[in-house]
Amino acid sequence: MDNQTISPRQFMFLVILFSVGSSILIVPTPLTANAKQDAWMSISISVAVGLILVVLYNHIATLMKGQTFVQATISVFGNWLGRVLLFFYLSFLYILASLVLRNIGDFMTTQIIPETPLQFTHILFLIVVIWGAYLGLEAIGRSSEMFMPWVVLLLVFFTISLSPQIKMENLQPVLSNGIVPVLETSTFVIGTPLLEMVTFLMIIPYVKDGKTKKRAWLLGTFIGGAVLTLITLLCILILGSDLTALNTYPSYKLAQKINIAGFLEGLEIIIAIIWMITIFFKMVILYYSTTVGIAQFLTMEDHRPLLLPLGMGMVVLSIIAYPDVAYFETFINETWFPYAMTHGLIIPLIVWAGLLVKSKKQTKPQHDRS
Amino acid sequence: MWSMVSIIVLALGIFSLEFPRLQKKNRKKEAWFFTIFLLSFTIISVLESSEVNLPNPLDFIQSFYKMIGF
Repeated sequence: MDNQTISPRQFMFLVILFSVGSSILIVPTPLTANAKQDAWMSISISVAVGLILVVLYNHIATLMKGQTFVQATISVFGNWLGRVLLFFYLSFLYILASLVLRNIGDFMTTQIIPETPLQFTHILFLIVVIWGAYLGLEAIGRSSEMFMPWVVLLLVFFTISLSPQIKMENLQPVLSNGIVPVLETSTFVIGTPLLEMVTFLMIIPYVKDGKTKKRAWLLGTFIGGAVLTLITLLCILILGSDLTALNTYPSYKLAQKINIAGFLEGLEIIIAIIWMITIFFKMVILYYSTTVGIAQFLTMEDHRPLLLPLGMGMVVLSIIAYPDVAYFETFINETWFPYAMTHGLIIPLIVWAGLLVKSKKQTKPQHDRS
Repeated sequence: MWSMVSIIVLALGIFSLEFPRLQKKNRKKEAWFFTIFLLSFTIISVLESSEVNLPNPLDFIQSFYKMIGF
């Protein structure tokens, strides 16, 4: 909204935190349920697909020429058709943000603070997110630089302290069920953090420097995907594929297994800090881009007045979004991928086509003159 | 009952926090949109707290994708 910019490095950190946040909690279970011990392969495949996706997004971002996705769509498709497309895009972001809020709320109420009602966890978490979105992108970018070392440090600690318990046998037999289940489950990771990257089309116009920001997005996606692969691999190596598939939060279960020299135990809450930080950043990016998007949709000058009312709606939506975990699992397994596909691939492709036609039209008269 | 009262108090708090600022800058459009959003979400929150069964957007999404064959 206002002239705030972030550096490509901060943008890369945001991409990493975004792709790790909340996926780290929900990805290993459904993947190992279907692909068994080959789940890590399907993540690798999806990361490769995700990199192609990011190349497409980067190309759209170049064609947008410093406008956000919302402004670009309105300028290409006009006030009405553009707004119809954007209504779906923004509702996707809003629903996604409320689902992410529900993820952290569910995690906190089932594992850490079971007596606190879900609403209050959501409200407390959302207050911090609203504060971050109020301060703007610059503050978000700078705080990502502050927190990134912590996330890296805790991940390294997590990996090293678990490495004595690794059992290589858990990975065998490789590809015992053939390649088909591996390919089938790779859609899950494509749907969960990778197609959601479409959010960054709202952020990328505020990133300084043209060339390195493309590389920053690609590198961020790659590192984020590598972290997800590492976590899933650790789950399979230590818990085994069956136990991973049975746990709702296998990576938390994994943290409970940390045992340093027989006296340092119960460190899982330190590991939970990684998830709170990453989910906070995912929420703040989604919330910021949703409110900025809605503000630009309504041609408002400032997004800040919308932050608090939309937050009220988001708490309600996150409560009613699903009655129980079973509903969520069927939703995320069956409906999420086509839903994310529609909004993360088809709408950007339509806008991309429109932008291409528009940029060709703009360059032609110049040729005629020369 | 208490949750309903606290939601209305909260909404009034948000209103008194943001509205004077918008009025000072003389931004009519912003003030309108802000009021509309706040009012509609307050009504939704009050309905939710009084345990009315609100329609779930995820149900619509699910039935739509079932319909087209996923």
